[in-house]
Order: sequence, then structure tokens, then C-alpha cells
Amino acid sequence: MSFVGSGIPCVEITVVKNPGLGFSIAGGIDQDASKNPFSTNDKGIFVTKVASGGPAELGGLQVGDKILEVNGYDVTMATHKHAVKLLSKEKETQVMLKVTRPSIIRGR
Amino acid sequence: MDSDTTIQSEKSNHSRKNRRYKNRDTDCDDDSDYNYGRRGRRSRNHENSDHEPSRRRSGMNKSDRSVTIQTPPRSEGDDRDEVIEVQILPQDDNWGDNTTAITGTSDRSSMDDLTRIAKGIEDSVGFDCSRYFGLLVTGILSFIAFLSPIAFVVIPQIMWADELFPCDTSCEGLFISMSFKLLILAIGSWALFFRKPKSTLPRIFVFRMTLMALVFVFLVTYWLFYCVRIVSKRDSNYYGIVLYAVSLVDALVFIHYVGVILLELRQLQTLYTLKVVRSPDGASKFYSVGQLSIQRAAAWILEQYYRDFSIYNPHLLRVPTSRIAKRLSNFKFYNVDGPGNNTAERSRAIMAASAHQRDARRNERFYEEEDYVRRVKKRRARLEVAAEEAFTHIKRLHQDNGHHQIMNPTEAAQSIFPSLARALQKYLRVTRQQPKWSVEKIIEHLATCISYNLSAKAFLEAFLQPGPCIVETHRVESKCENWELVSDTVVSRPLKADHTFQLRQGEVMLQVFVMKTPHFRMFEEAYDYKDNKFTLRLQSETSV
Repeated sequence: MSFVGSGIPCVEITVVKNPGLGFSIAGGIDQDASKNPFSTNDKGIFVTKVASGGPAELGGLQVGDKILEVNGYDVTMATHKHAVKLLSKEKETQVMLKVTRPSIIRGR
Repeated sequence: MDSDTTIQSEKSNHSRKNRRYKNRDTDCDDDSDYNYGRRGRRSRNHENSDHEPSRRRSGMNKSDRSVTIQTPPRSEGDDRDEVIEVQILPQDDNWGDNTTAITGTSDRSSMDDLTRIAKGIEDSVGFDCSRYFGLLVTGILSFIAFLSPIAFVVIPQIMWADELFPCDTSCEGLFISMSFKLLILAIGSWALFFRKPKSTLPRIFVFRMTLMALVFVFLVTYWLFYCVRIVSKRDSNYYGIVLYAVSLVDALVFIHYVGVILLELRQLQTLYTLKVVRSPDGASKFYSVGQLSIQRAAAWILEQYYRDFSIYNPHLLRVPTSRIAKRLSNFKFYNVDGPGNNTAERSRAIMAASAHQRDARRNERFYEEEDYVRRVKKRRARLEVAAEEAFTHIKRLHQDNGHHQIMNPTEAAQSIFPSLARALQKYLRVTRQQPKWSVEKIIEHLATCISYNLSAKAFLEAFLQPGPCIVETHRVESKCENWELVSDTVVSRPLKADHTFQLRQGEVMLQVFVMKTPHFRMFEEAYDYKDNKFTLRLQSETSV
């Protein structure tokens, strides 16, 4: 459990590429946030699918997580394309994510 | 123009000292009429040496051409070989004379082999004679060709009229058709060939020669046949003779048609793109041209040049360079760390200082140019204001209700000229145009503008935009312009891609590069209007 700079409680998850990361994201500052199923009018990057048995599931990522940071780069205000680019950099074999969930915020 | 520039050089030399101390006001120009560059505040303490590489300044002093950088005298105890001597090679003002200095039609003073090849067999001595000779031959041949059918028809009537069969209706019909065809031939020839040639080309015009040869061959054949078969045998079939004459007219009309195609129509379809670069100032333009010989292409390019290229003003090129090739002052080396064997440091320091000064000089050119542009803009703005104010003073007679002096346009021009004279003079001086405009010319131009009710801006256009070269030829009223064509292939050959040739007139050199326009291959792509449907995807999901 850690805190991001703006004080939101989050979890640090490291996902090792094998060969991909094994999840799908949606959202972004250029997308339509009113259709966000997890948190309406939230323009952040959300995890919509997690491949079962994939590296993301192993790392502990869940559907509905909001990704706050990727390898130290903030994605709360990023476009969809930019977030994808940060996540799929070929040079890096693992990504360190800071994600938040409603359960964490509620304090469970 | 030459004499003007010699006077300028003398003046600039004498008043150099005065100019050194007159530079408080950055805005003022010299009182001397011609000024090659503003001596600004910075140059007050420096000696200005005009490095104009002109041949006309042969009488100028060449004193500041050699500079010696020496170590200061107190180190004389050191060895002699540590003195660094830098010599600027003396600017030989005559070095320009050895290069191609061809003016006008002189074709003997050049050392270029290319020029000699391009000249061809005909020398410039017999040049005009050969041009008129060709024209004469062409004229005579055409005249004979025109009269031949008539002669064919008339000769039997004269020589053996009693033996001839009488001319019935079909024969007379042929007379009518022959006369109309001759009339059409006459009109066509007049329209096409009776034009003043725009240019005199150095080599013979191949197509015209072909046409003339064709006409000659036709005539010879027809006359031979006529004399052998008809005249010697005294053929009495007049209808046949008239038919024969009509066939000659037809042949001539067809030759005229071939002439139209070869001389006028063939080069209309563009095949090459020509790039024309003017040498002293680097102005360039692109033109499209069809299949032409080099000399005809050159003549065509010259026409476009006189219309498209702005007037070449040699004074404008020299404006920012007054400070470039300047002083190379003596460097004095002071050692503040105490005496010692430091000649290496000395030389290094001097080299560094001179390199730094060289860089500063390059920047100066940039700042000079910026400064010049700003000055021109400022003068121009003032001129426009002055002109507009001056034009408001003039009112047409019927519009003016008061009882003022009645004047004709010239007098009106003379009366408002003084109010804009100063601003105009300053602007002309800064753009180096004042040799072209005398006071009479300006007043004449002003009178024309006033009498046609033009505005101040229309009046100023003649000064603000000097225009293409044709304005210059119009001003000096020259009827004939001499140009030299320099080419490594024979100039009556057709243009080929990647060739180059040059047109020269004095200082101005036009280099022409030939480029072939590519062949375009187009494919049709059907526009699928049925499949032109779109969806809006605002939620994109990407898997990583």
C-alpha cells in the first residue's frame, strides 16, 4: 500500500512481460468519459480485461483498476495512445504500475 | 553609368575622413549623392577600406592591404623567428580584367573555347549580311512559288493560243478554285511569315531551311515537268494544264500547312522544364518549354526574362559589404602574468583573437542586412505619407468651389512635387535607384498620374516596385539588345535533358538548366460512394 503524490491510496504492481502484459485498457483524456463503466466521468486509464493466467493476473491486477502511474510516468492525464505507448515500450521487460481500486479507497 | 560609378569611387575616398566623424545620428545619410554603406557609430574609430573589386578604381591607394602582426618591441631579446607575420594578399584591382570580361558583341576578347565553338563558322563581321541574305533568298523563292501557277496557266495562252482547246465550264471552274486557293495561300503566308523577326539567331534555323528546300524542290520538279512535257510538245489540252497548275497550288498550300506545324505548333506541347538562374544576384525562375533547338529556346527564354526578372541593380549588391572586408588591426599582446618565455601563448592568443574577430565580422553582415531592410521600410513609410498628403492638395477644377489658380496637369505636378521631393529623394537614395529618375521624369510621371486621377499609391508604384527588365529597356529606349549564347553543343541542335547553356550580357549571366518533365502514368481508382459509411468510436480499448 502506498500513496501517489496527490494522496490517493494505491497499490504497486509489477507485471513482467511474457510476452505481452496480458490486460486491456480503456479510457484516456481524449475519450468519452460518460461511458466509463467503472467510474462515470473519470478520464483516467482503466483496466477492462485481464487475461486469465497472464502476467497481469499473476501480478495482482484486477478488472476495474485505475492505473495512476506506469514506470513512474503519470497517466492520470494521458491520452489513450500515450498510455498504450508507455505500457508497450519494447525495451522494458516489466512495468511497474501504481493502481487504485474502489476497495482500497474505501479502506478495506 | 560607368562614368557615374567612377565619380562615386573618388568621392568616397576623399570624404572618408569626414564620414568617420559624422555618425552620431544613425538615421542621417551622407550629403554626398552616392553612398556605399552607412558608416555607423561603431566604425567611427576605424579605418574603412573599400574593398570593391572594380576595375575602375585603379587609381586608389592600396596602402591598407598588408598587415603585420608583430610581437611588441620590448621582447626584442627573443628570437627573430617568433615574429608572426600575417599578410593580406594585396587586392589587385586589376585581377578582374583577366577573367571573362565580355561586353556587348565582342567575341574576340574571350579566352573561352566554348565561346568560339558557339560562334560557328560565321564571324560577327559578315553576320548581318548573312541574315539579310537568307531573308532575301526566302523572299525570292516564295515570290516565284506564288507566281508559278499563274505562269503555268498564262504561258500557253501567250505562246500557242490558237492550238489550245477552248476553255469550257469545268476549266473555268478550275480557274475559280485556283484563284481562291492562291488567295488563301497569300493570306496564310502573310499572317504567318510576314512578321518582324523577334530575334536574330546565331545559327541557321533548320526548319525554315527545310521548308525552303522543300519549296525549291517542288518548284524545280514542276517547272521541269512543265517545260519538258508541256512547253516543248505544245500540249493543246488546256484543261490538263490548268489542272496541273491547280495541283501545284495544292502542293504549296500543303507545304504551308507543314510550315505551320513545324514552326509554330510543334513546340507548344511542353516537354522540358528550364531553370534560369541569374548570376550576380541569384534570382531564378522556372519555365516550361517544348521541343526546341537551343537557340530558339534561348530566344524564348530571353523574352520571358525581360518580363519576369526584376531589374538588376548592381549597387544593391554592395550595400551590406562595406564592413565585411575591413580592418585587421594590429594586435598588441600584453602579458599580465609577468615576463617569461611565453611566445606560444602569445601566438595562441593572437590566433584566438583574430578568429573571434572573423566570427564577429560574419555576424556583422547579418546585422547590416537587417538594418538596411529596416531603413528601407522606414523611408518607404514616410514616403507614402508624404505622397498621400501631397495628393490631397490637388482637386479637380469642377470639384473645387473656391477661386484658386487653374493649372494643367504638368503645372499641378510641379506645384505638389516639392512637398514630396525630399521623402522621395531619400527613398530613391536608399534603394539605389536615383540614377534612373531625373526630376523631369518624376514630374512627367506625376503629371500622368494626376491627369488620369490615379491615387498616390499608384504614383508610388513606379518607385516602390522597379519592375522587370523591360522597364529598363523602355527607359533607355534601346531597340536592340545583344546577348551571347554560350553552349558546349551546337546551338541548332534540339534541347536535351540535363544540358546547360548560358546567356551573357555584360555582367548579367543567365545559366539555363534543362530538365525533362517526367512521364506521368495515371491509374484510375473508382470512388466507392456506397461504401462510404463511418462509425464513431469514442471508447477504444487496447490490449497491451
